[in-house]
Amino acid sequence: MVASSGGNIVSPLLSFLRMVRGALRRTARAMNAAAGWMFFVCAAFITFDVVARNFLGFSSKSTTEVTGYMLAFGMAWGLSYTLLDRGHVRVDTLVNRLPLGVRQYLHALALLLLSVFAGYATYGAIFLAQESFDFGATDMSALRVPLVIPQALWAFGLLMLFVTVLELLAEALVLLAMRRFDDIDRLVSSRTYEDETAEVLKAVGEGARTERAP
Amino acid sequence: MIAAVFFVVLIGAMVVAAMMGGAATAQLPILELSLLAGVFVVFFGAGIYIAAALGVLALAAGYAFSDRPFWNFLGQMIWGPSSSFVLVAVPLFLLMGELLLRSGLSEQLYRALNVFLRRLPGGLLHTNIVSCGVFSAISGSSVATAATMGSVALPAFRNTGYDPKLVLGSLAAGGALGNLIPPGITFIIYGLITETSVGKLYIAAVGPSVLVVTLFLAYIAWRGWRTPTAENALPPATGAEKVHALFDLTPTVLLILLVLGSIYAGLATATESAALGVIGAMAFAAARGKLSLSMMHEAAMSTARTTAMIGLILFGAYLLNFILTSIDLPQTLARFVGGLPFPPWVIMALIVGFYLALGTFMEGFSMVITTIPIVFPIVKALGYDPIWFGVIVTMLVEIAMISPPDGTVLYVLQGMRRDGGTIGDVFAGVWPFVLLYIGAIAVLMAVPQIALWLPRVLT
Repeated sequence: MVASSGGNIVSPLLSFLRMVRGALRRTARAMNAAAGWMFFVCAAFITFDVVARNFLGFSSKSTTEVTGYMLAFGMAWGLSYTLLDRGHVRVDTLVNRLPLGVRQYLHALALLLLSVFAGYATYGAIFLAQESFDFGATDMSALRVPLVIPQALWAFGLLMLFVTVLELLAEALVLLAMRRFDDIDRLVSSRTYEDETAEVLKAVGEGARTERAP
Repeated sequence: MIAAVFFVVLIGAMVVAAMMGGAATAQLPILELSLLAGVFVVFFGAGIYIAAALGVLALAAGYAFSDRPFWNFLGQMIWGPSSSFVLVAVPLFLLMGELLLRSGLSEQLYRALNVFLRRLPGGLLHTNIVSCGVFSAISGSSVATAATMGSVALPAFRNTGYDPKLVLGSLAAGGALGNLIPPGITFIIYGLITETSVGKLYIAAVGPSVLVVTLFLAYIAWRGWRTPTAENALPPATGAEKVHALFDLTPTVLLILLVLGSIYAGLATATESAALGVIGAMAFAAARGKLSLSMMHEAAMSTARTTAMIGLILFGAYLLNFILTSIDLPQTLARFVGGLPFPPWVIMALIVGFYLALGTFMEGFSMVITTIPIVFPIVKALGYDPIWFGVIVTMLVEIAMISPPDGTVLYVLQGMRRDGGTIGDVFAGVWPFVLLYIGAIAVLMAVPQIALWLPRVLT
């Protein structure tokens, strides 16, 4: 875990943070997968309802609400992994042209502001779920789903984002203090169109490879 | 570059407008507006996450202007878009695209269409536009369309007599159809923010899509007619070849019928048709022997990531919009612009220019989510149709992606070339198409019926 380069002794704090990031990344990855698979479930659920309504003459009468909860779950549980995967959008036209030394402070600033936003959003989400719980609020659908269930799951996704931002911020600050600018760049600079293209080509290549297989 | 020049012009125009506006200026919160614009410029220039820039700005405005404990409403504000049934269509269409991307649809499509189009003047180039158009109708992402079709088409042009500039230009132009041809994701987000019907937007997009594709094909035919290539002398396809190609096209056509047909026939909402599309795409992949757990997992991971990316920006935008609306800013701005002594089309032309400029450095979804809450009330106050404007905005987003020197799609294609040419070829090749696209917007501004006729007839 502890990598020493050029004889430098990497601070124990940094290696601790990297360990935390590793754990966060594994959790976030699993959560992102759950979010993605939830969309398959969502598609199946809606399709079933459309078919049932048109051909079998019945409906779950709660598609709108329940699929909305699935979306809330999917959206929130993917947030943290998307951050670790550098997928959240930043306008980097100018930043990428600045010298590395200046860019690092902007990276740290970006993380700081994101932590403020994520913190408030998490607070709001937990507050909302707490309120739904206190008042025993349910939705208007046939199922009378207690709102605290989808809202608490959703709030957990936001909380995970908040924790992830804090870890990245701490790591960026430590690296800043150690003047290891390249590492900060690798940690948070946003994905380029090269990354996007490579990914699409990999996906297409995957299709082509299986095609040639007997 | 273009952006910087335009913003200077826009600020100049606003100063002139403010001076000419006279009485109207008095009610305009100049201080708040310039503060808002200033903070935006600094945040965006500094590379702050767009969602964080919007959100932090909302919090600052909240502390400055609101005397209620607004932080307790934050959860309610972002729960709205999080659990919206309209927005469910976004991950589902994304998922459908991801599945099709991994199912080998693009190659099959390109080969089959080529059988029918290769003998036209301009030959293979028509195949570029049409297959990009068809692929984008089911994928909904311009970068993905350009990258996918580029990977299939560029090898097909190796060692042919085609002008590489035109080859690259037509691929970029075809890629830029991705969001315009239904079911694009920009329309869903626009529909969500402005509370317009996504189904109507999809219907309204038909006319303009046909217009743009026709212009592109006509240009290619004209170029091909002036300088014929050897490919035009190919023998016509045999009957067997054509039957085979038709057979190859059938699943794609069925899929389009399933997704768009169900919306257009009024059988399903956009969200429902997206769900049908996911199941259809799985059937398509299964029929081609590509459906596997690992393939579905890849598609799921990618979908979740893009959805989270869009979601976070929406959270920020909804917070900011809540605070701005509570201090009445968009409405005041709309009244001010509506009271200016200009004909509406001048303002509209400025808005069009603003989007073209913004698009050169901002990603499409973020651009729409960030600006529409402010711009939309102005457009409505000027008396323009919300559906028509949705189509215009989507076209502008697309143009931004292929405008030299900043368009993303151009760099995607350049990155895929193996002939060692410079990015200058891509720029030179795409310019005629960009101009045609802008021409199409001008036509649409002059004759709004191209977009609005069909929704009126169908509803």
